[in-house]
Amino acid sequence: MTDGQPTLGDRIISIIVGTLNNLIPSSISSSANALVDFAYVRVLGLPFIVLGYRQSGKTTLLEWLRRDTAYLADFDPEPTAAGGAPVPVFGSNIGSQHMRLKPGRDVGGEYAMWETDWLDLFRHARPRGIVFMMDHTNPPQHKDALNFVLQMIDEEPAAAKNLKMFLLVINKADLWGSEKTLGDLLDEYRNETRRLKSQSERLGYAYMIAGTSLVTGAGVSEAMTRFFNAIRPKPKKL
Amino acid sequence: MQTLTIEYVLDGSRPGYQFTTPTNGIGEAALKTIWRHAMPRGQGWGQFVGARSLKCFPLDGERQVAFSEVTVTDQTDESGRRGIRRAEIMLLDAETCPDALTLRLVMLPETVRDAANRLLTFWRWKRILDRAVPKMRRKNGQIVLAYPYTDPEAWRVVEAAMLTIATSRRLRALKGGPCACSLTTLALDHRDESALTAIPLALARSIKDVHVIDLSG
Repeated sequence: MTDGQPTLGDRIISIIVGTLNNLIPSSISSSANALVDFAYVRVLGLPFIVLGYRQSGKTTLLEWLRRDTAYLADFDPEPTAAGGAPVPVFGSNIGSQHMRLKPGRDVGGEYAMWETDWLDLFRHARPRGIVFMMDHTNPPQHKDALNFVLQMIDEEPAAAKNLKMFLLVINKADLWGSEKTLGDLLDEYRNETRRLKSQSERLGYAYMIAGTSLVTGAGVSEAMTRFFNAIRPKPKKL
Repeated sequence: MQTLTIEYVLDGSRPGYQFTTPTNGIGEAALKTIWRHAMPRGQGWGQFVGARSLKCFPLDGERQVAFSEVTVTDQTDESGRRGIRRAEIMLLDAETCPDALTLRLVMLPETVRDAANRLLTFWRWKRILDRAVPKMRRKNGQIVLAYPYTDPEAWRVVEAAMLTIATSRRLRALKGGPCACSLTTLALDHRDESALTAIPLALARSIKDVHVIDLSG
């Protein structure tokens, strides 16, 4: 992994933005924020990435967003191949707001994809948010994948610079919801969630954990509304 | 000539796509490029079981070329997902790439090659060459061809047409034109694909950003 040192350009921009924040009255700064927010949400697309171990629902989540949160029972994805698939910027109704979203690529979740496709995507997207998908099966593999992502965030400061929110999604609630609670499932991941909490405090991003079912739609809309609101430059009160 | 294989492995502690042949002697950058480009793009391969796609792409600053032969297997994973593919990749010197493509073309039955030549009418050649000429305002010089997909056997005509175009002197003579060794004979999405790509006609109808050349009718 690279040393992640900021470039001269990055440093100059940081100095200018820092100086302007001190000099410009808050009303003007707020208008500038609104303009940046408009640019991301309506034009460029909010950069985010979806990661997670294989079969956890990454492709299905992207399809759910692309289909404008429609019912997905007929969707039958195949294992995402090496290299992933490009996903162009698209519009989606998130809560009551239409937003343009920029996930970059749909990547596979197997071990072989982590050092290649995940790392390339993270470096290239410089995401404002990460959605990490898990389910109730294969805890050791989900733990490995989550630890890899947390390590990647630490080792790639340039790519992690814009990170505002990490959403941990425990998907397939239709399969585990009748037997277990979200708390029961998270018991298995105590060390990882502790690491996530500590990293989020250290690097200054927020994190959230949600139980969802992409098949029934349970919990997905609420989680996505909060996630995309958190990663936009000027979050709204929900 | 080194050969690599990417397969979907279900046994073992790390299931999923992986190289199942040794990768010794191949640089990390080249290996990453092969990993990323060996499989044709798109979702929905479950409906194309038995289909074959030939994919050719440059490596190492274009001194080397990877030639990937991808088949859509009838394999399913433990949750029943289909559309699993297998890629056999040969590494070639870039100078030998046109010869390798020509060899693939002549290995196809003569009837298939004749049918392909009938698809490539004068007007279609004109459009292909027109697309291939780099123009100031045209950032993406990708040539996308479309044809109705019925079965793997029938698609061999398109494969022959693609190989005919890629090996044609007319195309290779174009200064600054597309690399002859960047082609995909069957993809389900043209984005992030080769300079010369063929996709099923049903999928081509939704393409907005590239002018598709229809080989049917």
